Amino acid sequence: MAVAISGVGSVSCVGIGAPTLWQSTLENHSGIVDGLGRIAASEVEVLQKKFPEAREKSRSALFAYAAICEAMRQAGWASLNEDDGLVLATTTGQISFWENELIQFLHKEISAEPFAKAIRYQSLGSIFEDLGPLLGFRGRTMLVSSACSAGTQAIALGSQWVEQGTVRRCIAGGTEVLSRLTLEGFRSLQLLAPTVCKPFNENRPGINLSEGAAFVCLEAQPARPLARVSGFGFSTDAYHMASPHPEGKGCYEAMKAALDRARVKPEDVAWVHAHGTGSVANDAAEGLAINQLFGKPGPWVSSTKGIHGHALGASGALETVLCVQALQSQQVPPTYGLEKPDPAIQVRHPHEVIPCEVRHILKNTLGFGGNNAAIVLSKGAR
Amino acid sequence: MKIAVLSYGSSSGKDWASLTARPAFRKATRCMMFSYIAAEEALGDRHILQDLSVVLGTSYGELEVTKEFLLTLADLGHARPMLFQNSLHNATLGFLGVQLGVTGPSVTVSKRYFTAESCLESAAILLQSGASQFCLALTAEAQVPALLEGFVPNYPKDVVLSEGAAALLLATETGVKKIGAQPLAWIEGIEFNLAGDTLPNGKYHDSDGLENLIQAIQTPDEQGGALVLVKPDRTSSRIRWRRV
Repeated sequence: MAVAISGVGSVSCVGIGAPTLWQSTLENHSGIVDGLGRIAASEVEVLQKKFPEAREKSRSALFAYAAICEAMRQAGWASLNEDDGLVLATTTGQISFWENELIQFLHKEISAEPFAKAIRYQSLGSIFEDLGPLLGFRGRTMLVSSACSAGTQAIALGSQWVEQGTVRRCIAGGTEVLSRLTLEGFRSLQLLAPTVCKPFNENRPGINLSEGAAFVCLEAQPARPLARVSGFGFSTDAYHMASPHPEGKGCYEAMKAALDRARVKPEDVAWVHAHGTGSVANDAAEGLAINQLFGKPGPWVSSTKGIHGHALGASGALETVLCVQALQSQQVPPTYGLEKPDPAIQVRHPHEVIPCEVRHILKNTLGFGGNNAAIVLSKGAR
Repeated sequence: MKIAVLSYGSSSGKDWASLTARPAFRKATRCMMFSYIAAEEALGDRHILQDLSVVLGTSYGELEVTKEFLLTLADLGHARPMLFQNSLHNATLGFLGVQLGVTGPSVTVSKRYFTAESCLESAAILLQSGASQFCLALTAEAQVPALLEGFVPNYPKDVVLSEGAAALLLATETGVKKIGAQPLAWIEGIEFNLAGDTLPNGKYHDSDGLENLIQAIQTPDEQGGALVLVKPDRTSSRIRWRRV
């Protein structure tokens, strides 16, 4: 398996564009304010001016469109054709268009007619009805909604679409916006940190919810490959709806399957870009799984969620964009926010940006519902 | 594409409500119970869980719980964690994974009118990639009576919105040989977004394509061909299948 990535694009709370995301990561510039990674109104205005055709679209469609356009520009794709594909990950889709209206309708503050228009957007696939015309695209689409693993799954499934010849080229990634549902939901689970998260730290205050979008262009033999997706692995915990298996069993299986498929030995992995949300249970389970798979000293292990936050369905895609940048620049970033590593998490933490040979990176994700997904990203062409 | 259909299951006409008597189902949603009934029937007594992936397709997901969560928050000022974790689109599959003991790949997909077709297509990707040799393709929708007034205008006037779950146990050719199974049918291709000029009528929901495919397979005179599914936006899809 070796489908190449030829372009990347992102919109996140640190700014517009993949280079901005990478620079912020290297320079320890966090986009988290008051515990959240919200995209500033000024940045949204910039996007609306740059893409007036998407001005009236939902926040998630606007972010996705901007990231897709950036990725396509880098890949040199002028347009999408009918034999191309689009795989998009999200957990709440275009929720900004219907969340308030649902309550207003139930409280009889609006009639059925405006509610009918709003609730159409609750069906996650509705986002293609906006993105399709914006991109002039009528080809195959797929929407993945496997919680926080969705973005990673989307890139894996998109690369399989290309590999299996179902589509010629594929755009894959995710988009997510902050919403009352997710904010209050995670608050009710007592998982939100009031400050910047501290993945793998002894004392971890919780996670930073955020929003954003990231996409990659996938094709078999591009002129200028940035990286390649060389393996993937999915697994399910069969343990709990909202907590990972405490020993990280499913997480281990997904990472191992990804390495096996990529035919990459654990010792050849330079960096594990961990899910590392900063939640007590996630980091502990993931740390155990990484330690079990790689042993000591193992590869560098870090999380970048202290920079861009946890954008749920888009997080795997945002972090894949960072992996591509790391393969390009041969650098491994540290975990922003890590002060005193948790002694129970026996992994090799980079405490600063490490210049080193990076041939393979394992991007790992865990999600609600016991969904685990990992991909191996490798340098250059096959 | 060449995917074997080994068996099927459906919540249609089944006593899903009696599941609530089981402790594990006390807080389960209707979508979860529909799915469990369909999945259990499709899996039967096959001991293939070690090599099973599951793809669940749902257009509106756990909207009933999402409504409850947002309403509780608006009216009482506090959120209930159980409602939140059950509100996500992939909560249905998360619940099913725990109940069935699924440890292989699991993916939730959603694609409005083409949700069932997307579910089959995603299952085919997993099977053809070798991620698993067996895959349970499952679709589920649950109506939300309090919101129905807002849903009806979005569908053709002759449509009666329905609900339920359907499941197909699929396998690769290698998987078929491995367990010595006799497939019921082969799925050979799926085409989306085809031009059409007719609208669905009668009972319909966004992911009822699997239910329609099951009905076609159940019809003894049907030897296969193209199952055409018409959509509320006047497009259609074709699932190409062949009886064994």
